[in-house]
Amino acid sequence: MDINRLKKLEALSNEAKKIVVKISANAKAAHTGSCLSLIDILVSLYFDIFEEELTPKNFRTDLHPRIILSKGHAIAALYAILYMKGYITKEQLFTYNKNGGLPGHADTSVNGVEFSTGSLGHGLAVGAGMALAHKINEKSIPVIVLIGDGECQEGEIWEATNFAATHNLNNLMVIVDNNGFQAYDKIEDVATSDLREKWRAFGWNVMEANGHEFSSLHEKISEALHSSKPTVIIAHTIKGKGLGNLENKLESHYIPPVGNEFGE
Amino acid sequence: MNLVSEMRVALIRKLTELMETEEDIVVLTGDLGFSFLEEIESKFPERFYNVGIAEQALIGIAAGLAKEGKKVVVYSILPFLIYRPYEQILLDVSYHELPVVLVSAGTGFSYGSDGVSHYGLADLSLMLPLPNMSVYSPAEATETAQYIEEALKANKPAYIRLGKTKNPSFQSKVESKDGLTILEDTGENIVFSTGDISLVVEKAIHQLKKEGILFSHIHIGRIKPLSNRINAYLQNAHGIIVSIEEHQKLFGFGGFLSEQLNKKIYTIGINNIFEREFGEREYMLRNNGLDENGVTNYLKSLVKAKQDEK
Repeated sequence: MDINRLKKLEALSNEAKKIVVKISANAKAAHTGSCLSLIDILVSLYFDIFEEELTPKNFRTDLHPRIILSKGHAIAALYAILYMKGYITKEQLFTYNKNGGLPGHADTSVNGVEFSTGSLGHGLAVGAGMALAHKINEKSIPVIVLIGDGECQEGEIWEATNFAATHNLNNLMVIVDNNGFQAYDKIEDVATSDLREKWRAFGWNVMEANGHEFSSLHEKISEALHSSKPTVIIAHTIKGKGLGNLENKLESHYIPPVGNEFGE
Repeated sequence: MNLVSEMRVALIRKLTELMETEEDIVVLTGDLGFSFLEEIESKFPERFYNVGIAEQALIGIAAGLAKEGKKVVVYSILPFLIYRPYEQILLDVSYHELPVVLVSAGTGFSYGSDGVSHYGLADLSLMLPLPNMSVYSPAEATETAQYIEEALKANKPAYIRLGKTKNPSFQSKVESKDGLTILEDTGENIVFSTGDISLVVEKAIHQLKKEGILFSHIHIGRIKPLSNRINAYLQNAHGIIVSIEEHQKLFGFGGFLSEQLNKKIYTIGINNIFEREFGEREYMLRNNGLDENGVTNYLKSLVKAKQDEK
């Protein structure tokens, strides 16, 4: 990746992180750790891969790739991006988690949110349905579902994975925010099976990426968009990345940030 | 050989007809519908999908298709369609107001000998409270065809629950209008019933009429939204108001009516206990006082109690 582009993405990433911790501190909101493991994946999608396509003007048209935030609790990360791309205003942004303001999980009442989520495991089947509709309509619209590694314990994920393979929905992509934590434990204490092996067994194209390196994300997502099979990218991430003492800690799921972790 | 009941046949016949002209209709099944979904599968292979034994994804996929402009009809046996993926129905379909029509087979004790796993005795308790959800509970074939068309035209979430009575049609040849079938309009007492138990109730009411006990009888095939026309009949009902359902009485059709109409309603239905003795539907209905005799006797006893009060 061109060094200038990389620097630009890193600067955008820092700005997005700054917003996440500010609005989360302002709202004393939880889930900052989940937002910070996911955010570079969102920066990659909205400012690199689909920089031109993911815009407020294109939203709800065939030009807008479908991005489903199945791990709906990481919504503050998406709000930061939606603000930076002009879907929502600064005033709206700072109503996050406040009475009458932006809700604490993904909700279609907010401009730019594709599908409402919050209960884990729903997004992939919905994405599979969307991808199937595009196949039937012979439309080329990518569907990308963002899920957590803990979320992969939900049975519906594997029901939908099976369906997507059977109907060869190669217009469907899953990116797993593989941060190693779930709400009460480390993933390894609850589910020991290998995600890569599971998806391979279902017949998907399986790739891995460094979820905090834009060149790695660029390469893998671009390749996945041309796959002849549905693709999962296991993006290795760090929960609460950049949160000081809370980085890579379960507590980052609950304790609100101070607000200045990424600068004033 | 026709292996299935006429309500499903009527629904599929109408659906096939609608699919000829409406290209956006897609049909999904949760691996059920053997011997009557095949016609749709062979005529519209690109618009028919067996999602498999995976009911949560079945509903999620339906929602995704609908989100992209499809009108989706989803078929399965009642408990698998409603109980297993209830959260997906609530959040993915109902909350998003998507045009997904859920069609279940097996209301009440339709799968009598198959036991509790196959009974449909609490689906109304779950589906009636969902905002944006229309709820249809037909008794006979013509009405069923009418409702699948109405539900698809409405372009919003709907639930159609089907019983398995063979040759389901009322003795009185009256048409269903606006979700109501007025089978008798003869007295100050009134019975509301829903689903194919209405066919049993009709017989009971005819029997009572022969004995000089008069009841109006309205079959409610579309429970939600409830037609305003019902108020016209209630104005003359100064006697007993009764609801009859092949469903748990608790949080069921009768309770819903009572709340909607703000009236004291005597509810006849299934008690809030698990069945532990199984048999064919007729056997189960008899055990629960919901066969023709049971209904006749119960209605008689209500009239007598009312007279004794006076």
